[in-house]
Amino acid sequence: MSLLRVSNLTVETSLDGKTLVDDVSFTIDEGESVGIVGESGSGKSLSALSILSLLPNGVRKSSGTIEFKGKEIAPESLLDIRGNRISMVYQDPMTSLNPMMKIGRQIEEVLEAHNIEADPARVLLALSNVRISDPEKSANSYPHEFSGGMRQRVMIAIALLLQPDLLIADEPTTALDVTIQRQILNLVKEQKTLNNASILWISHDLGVVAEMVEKVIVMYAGRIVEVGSVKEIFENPHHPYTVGLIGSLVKRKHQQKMISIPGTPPKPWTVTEQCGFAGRCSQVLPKCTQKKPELISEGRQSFACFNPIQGGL
Amino acid sequence: MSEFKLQVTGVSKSYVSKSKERSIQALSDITFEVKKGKILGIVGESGCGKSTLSRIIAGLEAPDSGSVEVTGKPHPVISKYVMTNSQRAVQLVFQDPYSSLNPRQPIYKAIAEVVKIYNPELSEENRAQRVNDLLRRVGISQDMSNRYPHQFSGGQRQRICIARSLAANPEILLLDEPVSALDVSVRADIINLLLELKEQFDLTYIFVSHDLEIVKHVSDDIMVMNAGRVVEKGSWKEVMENPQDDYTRTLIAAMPSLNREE
Amino acid sequence: MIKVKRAERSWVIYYFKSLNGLIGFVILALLIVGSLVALFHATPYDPVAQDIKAMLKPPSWHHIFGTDQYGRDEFSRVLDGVRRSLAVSFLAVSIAAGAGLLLGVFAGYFGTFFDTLVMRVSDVFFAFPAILMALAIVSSLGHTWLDTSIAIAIVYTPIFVRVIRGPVLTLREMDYVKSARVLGFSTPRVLFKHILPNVIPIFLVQIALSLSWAILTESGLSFLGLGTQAPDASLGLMVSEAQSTAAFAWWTLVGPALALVFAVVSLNLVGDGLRDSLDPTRRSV
Repeated sequence: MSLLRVSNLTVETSLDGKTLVDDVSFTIDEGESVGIVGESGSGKSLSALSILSLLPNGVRKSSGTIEFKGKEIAPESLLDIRGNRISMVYQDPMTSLNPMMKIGRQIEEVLEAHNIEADPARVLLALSNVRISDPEKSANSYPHEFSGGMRQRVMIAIALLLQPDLLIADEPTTALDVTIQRQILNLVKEQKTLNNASILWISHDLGVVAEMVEKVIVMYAGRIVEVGSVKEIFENPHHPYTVGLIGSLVKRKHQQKMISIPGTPPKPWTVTEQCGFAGRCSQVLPKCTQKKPELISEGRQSFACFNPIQGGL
Repeated sequence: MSEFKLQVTGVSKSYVSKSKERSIQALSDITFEVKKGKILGIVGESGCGKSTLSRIIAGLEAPDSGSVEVTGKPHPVISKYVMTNSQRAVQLVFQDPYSSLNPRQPIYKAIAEVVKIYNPELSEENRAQRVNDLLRRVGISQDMSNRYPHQFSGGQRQRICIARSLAANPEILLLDEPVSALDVSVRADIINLLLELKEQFDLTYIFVSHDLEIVKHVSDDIMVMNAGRVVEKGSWKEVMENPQDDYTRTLIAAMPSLNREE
Repeated sequence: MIKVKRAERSWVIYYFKSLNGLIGFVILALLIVGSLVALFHATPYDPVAQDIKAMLKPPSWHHIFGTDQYGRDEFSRVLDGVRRSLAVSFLAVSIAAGAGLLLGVFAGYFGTFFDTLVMRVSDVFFAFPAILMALAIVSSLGHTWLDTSIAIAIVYTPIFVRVIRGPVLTLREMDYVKSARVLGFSTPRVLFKHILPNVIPIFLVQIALSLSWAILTESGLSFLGLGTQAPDASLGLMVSEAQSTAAFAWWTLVGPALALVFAVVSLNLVGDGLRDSLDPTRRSV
């Protein structure tokens, strides 16, 4: 039984039913780390937010099921699950913390919300676990006294406080400087081994995702276009979009032309009856604009393409 | 010494922070040169001073001390009170394609306005030709020239900004995080375009970015900045393969490590 | 020869797609027509002509809005009152808008000393409630419609300065303005081609709103006896005069009051319509 099973998730705008996430299905096993890679408009963040029913106003889940430990997540159990069994870290460290509350108090609040005694020792331990120097001073400080990197550490401390089964990280390092990002990535890797939590890591940066996870899901225009292990994705990608993404990471000759994908990502609801990548694909066939490709499995990989690339890079 | 297109000598700049009532040294004694036809990559994280340096090189701000010389001549600071149009040798491409074009101006006008000032000898017809030529070179088709900025994507807008800068026949093109605000799949396209245009127009580039991967790919020489100082300077190979400074080493080590061989 | 086609629909078309804007425009147009009628002395009756025999007559075919205690035709007086209100407010707002635009742009764009001076002086003006200030100025200047206009103009200039200065401060930092400067554009060019056009929408909306406030202020002053003087017709004055007759002659109050309401509401709706049509992000189509 998988820890998390998302089946046929479809998300659309509440007002006019525009599809934003189109029939997305994936699983996360216990202890497994999975990454979702995609750019803006790919639907990756919305898919993650759906898991904890945190979709913003104006957007709703229109179909599909989300099962945690074999059972669908019922609205009544959300309060228990959130922060406790499944927790989340967000992108913007500047707005994730309440500016009016001391750091220590915000951590206590999480404990209290789940009916656990707010023991100061626990708070200090949580802060030192994420390598915040001088935990006592930090606990008594306000968020604005911290840098973005420090705040993100606090967010991670809060997320891991109750030793969740699944940690969802939505672009947690995108807003950070690259050296700080390195620290956070190392920190999460460390915590993962300590906690054996599963991780769902969402990013537009394939390089970052590849470092953090075992299984990679590539999303484009609201749909999953490829799934595979990190090795498989890099050595034997099938979907032309995946190839394009990897192209930007591959060591290329200095100042020579980079592999690029012309055009811009389409809005998901404009391509629900065809392949979303068709407009930019170098391998496009007439079929691609007429029908929607389904995910085909090849071993443990799967991809949704009528004219996939075979034979590896 | 005018083998150097750009010479920056001893530039320092400090700001007084109103809230904290102390002065922040944004730049300390920055000195470097760029030869004609070369690409200098300036890399550093937030707060290192690279944006301030960009503004000073472009002339939007004056340094507290030090000088900026373009082709051997001092580069004038842009005054707020200038009454006539002037030609400037250093042009700037900004990071945010969504705020670098006047939303009320069709893109044709935005570029024609520049051509009028920098190539005043052209007749209206020739001017129109030049505008269309520039647009074509950056990959924007002629029949879109009467559209407004909001009708274009981020990548297209960045191309238009590049065309506008080129209309000024610049000696130096300063690119301040030109692809950071664009979708990942669009970045490579713009980088390729910039490299192409440099060859075509025989330009000198200064490429400012926090992304070491891109800087490494694009630059002939790299300058690393940290806390308002230049901590390392050299050819791209030297800096990447044999970094001398600790900070440079940290920066290189911080890059997500999935670099596979082509 | 390359022709630059208008690829974008004129904002005017968008304006008329806004229901508010349309209604406002229609009502305002009617009021302006009425004012012109009064201006050219084409009203059914002379607004100041008294006819004691016909005093306090309720609305009828002869007198659409009835007559007041002096036998003057209410309808003609209302038209004349609307004329005065519109004239005073248009003049006052023109002066305030012009001065405010100039000062606001200079203060916002050039900053430093000039900005501080303009803002501190505005602060002094803002410290007083508008109507009290207008009262004070009118008491010292005089009661002609010109004096009233000037008083209102002086009171409203700081509002325009503030409304313009804010956006100019923001615009000044926009990348496309910085680009214009780096491209070597002269300051006049930057101001006229890049800053002003992006300030015009807010400017127009503020004009519409200020016109409605100005009408209310003028009426308020007249009501208090400090604006238009009897026997001239002014909506505020008519309401004031109706205090003694309203109880048994409702039309003496309702006529001018309704006209005031329509004037103010129509201008507000026009302001809404302008806001909807000039801001590309709010357009309905």
